Amino acid sequence: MKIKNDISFILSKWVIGIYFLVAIFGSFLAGDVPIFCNINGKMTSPLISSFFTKSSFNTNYSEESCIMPFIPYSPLNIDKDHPVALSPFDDSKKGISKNKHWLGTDKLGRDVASGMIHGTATALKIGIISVFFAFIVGVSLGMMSAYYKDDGIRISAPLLIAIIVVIPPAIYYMIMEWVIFNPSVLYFLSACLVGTIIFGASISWINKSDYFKKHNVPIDMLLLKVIEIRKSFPGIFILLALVSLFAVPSIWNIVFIIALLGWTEFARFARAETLAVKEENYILSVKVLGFSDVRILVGHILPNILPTLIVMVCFSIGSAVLLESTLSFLGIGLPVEEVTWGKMMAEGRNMNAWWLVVFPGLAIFILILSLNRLATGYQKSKFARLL
Amino acid sequence: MTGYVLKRILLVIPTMLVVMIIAFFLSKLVPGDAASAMLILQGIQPDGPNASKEYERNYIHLKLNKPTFYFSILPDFYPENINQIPSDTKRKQINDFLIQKFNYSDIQDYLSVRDQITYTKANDNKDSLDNNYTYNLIFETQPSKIKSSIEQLLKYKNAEISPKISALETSFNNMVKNKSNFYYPKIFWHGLDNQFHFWFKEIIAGNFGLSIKDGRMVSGKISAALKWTLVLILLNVILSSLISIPTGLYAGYKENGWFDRMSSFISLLLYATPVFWLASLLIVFCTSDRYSTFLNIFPTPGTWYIPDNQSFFRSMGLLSGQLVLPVICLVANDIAQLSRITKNNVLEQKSKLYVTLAKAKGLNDWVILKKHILPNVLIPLITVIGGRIPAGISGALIIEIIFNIPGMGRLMYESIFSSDWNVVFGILLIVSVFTITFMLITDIIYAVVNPKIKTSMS
Repeated sequence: MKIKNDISFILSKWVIGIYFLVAIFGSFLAGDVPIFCNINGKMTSPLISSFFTKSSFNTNYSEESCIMPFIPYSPLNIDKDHPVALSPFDDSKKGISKNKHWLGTDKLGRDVASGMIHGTATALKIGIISVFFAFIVGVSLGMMSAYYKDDGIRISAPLLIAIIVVIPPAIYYMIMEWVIFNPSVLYFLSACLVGTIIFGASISWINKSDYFKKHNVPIDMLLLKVIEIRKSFPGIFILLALVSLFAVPSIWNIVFIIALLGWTEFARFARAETLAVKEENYILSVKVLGFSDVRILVGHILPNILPTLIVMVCFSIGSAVLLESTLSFLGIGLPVEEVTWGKMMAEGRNMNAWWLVVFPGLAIFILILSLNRLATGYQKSKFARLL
Repeated sequence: MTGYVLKRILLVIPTMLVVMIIAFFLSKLVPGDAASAMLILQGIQPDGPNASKEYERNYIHLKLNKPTFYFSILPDFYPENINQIPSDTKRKQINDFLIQKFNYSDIQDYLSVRDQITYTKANDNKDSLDNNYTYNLIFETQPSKIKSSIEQLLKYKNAEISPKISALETSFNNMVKNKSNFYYPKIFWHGLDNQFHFWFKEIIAGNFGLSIKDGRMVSGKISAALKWTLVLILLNVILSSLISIPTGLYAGYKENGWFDRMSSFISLLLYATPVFWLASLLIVFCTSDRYSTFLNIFPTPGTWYIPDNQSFFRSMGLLSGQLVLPVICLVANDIAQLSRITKNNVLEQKSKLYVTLAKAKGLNDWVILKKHILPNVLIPLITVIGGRIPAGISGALIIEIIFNIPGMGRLMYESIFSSDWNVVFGILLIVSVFTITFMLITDIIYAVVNPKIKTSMS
């Protein structure tokens, strides 16, 4: 069966594309800042300029001379004209279809449709960024541990001593300087990155000499141990415990925690995939040609395991979105002013208001369904090897 | 075989230790400490007259003045154990100074001189202007602001105070001068007399401390909650296996038949359904007559009152109506995965040679499925179902919160909101140990049942 012609596969691609468009151009669809305004004969776009200047739009414009977004409510604005908790079917009292609440309002009179549109951006942001970091860390470690196993990386004794002398103090000073003394996680992370690159390059350069006897570095064993430890903390419990440690709730905490908890799954998967590919003839022949390990890993193994990793990426974006909406449903970890699907659903459940439960839930459901369909489609297509 | 089991059990011990260390350090990262939490439990206002004294008493009683771990690696200008200062404000101030890389001995000098001045000034007339600057000094840890305060104080000529102020200035200048921009890490060995060791011993004895919400033992609270979670998980595992294994078997048996297509479509839908969405929908539509009277067949979630002195089964009978919706939600999510895995296993086994042989022997399809494929399918399912049980605790968490079931997940959720950290980390630890134990048991059962592993080990 050719997956390209499968109607549900194509449909799910389109659906995900629409979600992305809604997430990016959400302010053009719903918001209280007009898209175009004709002020004294001059055409301006308050919405576009509001991206560049942080100041809020002053509201001295007339309704007639402006083109408003399709839903002229921002997700946080309280509509004073309409009664609170308006069901989508009983706003016949207000005849103007322009200001209609298409999907009703919540208990404070905020528009549900607008909240759903702006919630898309939050959900996708958390899902994609966290999966991106988890992917980079997990896949690189997993590929390395499968490629080198326990005896691939060999380090001579003087270098080993040098590493023991250099690395722990370096990490120590980095933590002290950039976490304790002047808290700046960004500096810390960038220093980590630069340090890893310099360290890796210098090791591979020094380690070329065969003068000393070499010892194995059991990175595979270490990785498997870390994965086992991660697995022994059950998903949502450790998530809740970690999220509650942060004093100030923000999206980035959740991104960080989901990436921290999720990378082991990518590592496990990439490791299994690399192990399957590693012994194939083209890798062996490339090795015989004398290509460097980095070139083999990045240029030859990664492209071959990438199609199966995409399956994993689709599934994990779905589960990250699900985790985010679970957290916001529980009311933990996300700031109050952030609009999310889960928060609306929690409100709808408390108020027994069906429109607050059905529509945001449908948004999550359709997103996850199409991501899963996309994943299974890739899985069934000719690229997929395992799973 | 026993060798394998022993090896698996021994391998679990380091994992368990690391898990405990992680849980301990996470519990140390929470805002606020246990001694001030005890104050809340004792009913003492944080700004009350006795609060600081009582805080210090709690602090020493809870052994928070001990070092945190067996060893610590700190810069050389740090004290060996900063925890030994019982006063909360003083410890925080010293910490603030240390973070600016001032030497500990200089800080101590400065603070002792400063406290003399502020103490004598506090007994003085309170309205004078220089008093303001001394009060500023009490809370100030920023060098620039301290400096300006001291300069202001030096302007006042007072026979009693002036020499002390100049002493303060010298000690302050000394502290700033000796700021250690360069330092080396110093390893302090604290021995067994530390907080982690103490905590570890208590945990092994089953003592998780007190809940600051109601003063009950955490272990008692958790064991009361555990039984509800176990009921949910057991019902979930039994029902989902009963539904999904036959479904998966039949779907795999007649691949691409109408049943297969229907069940895989339904499981695709169920798999994508968020549990809390399904639960919310069921609550909104099926527990009230706001939208439809004929759908209002289930009780409102939240009436989990259990009369005292009831047998477990009697209370279960009383509450069975309440359990229907939560179990539906839990099962709905699980059957999607389980039936798909079962079907894939059946398909994998169908392509094996022994099935071809059985067919060649002339057996009919039903006998092949029952006698040959089913046992081979069930063996890998042990691992899957065994893995579902610890995962089921996580799945039960949100269901418990939505349906107000007094289980572990709900206890954890409520404890997070009331900053009841002993309970939170007690639950985290218990659930982790439960997970590790279950993975171990599943592995061992798998090894016992699966003849392939048995032969490979002997």
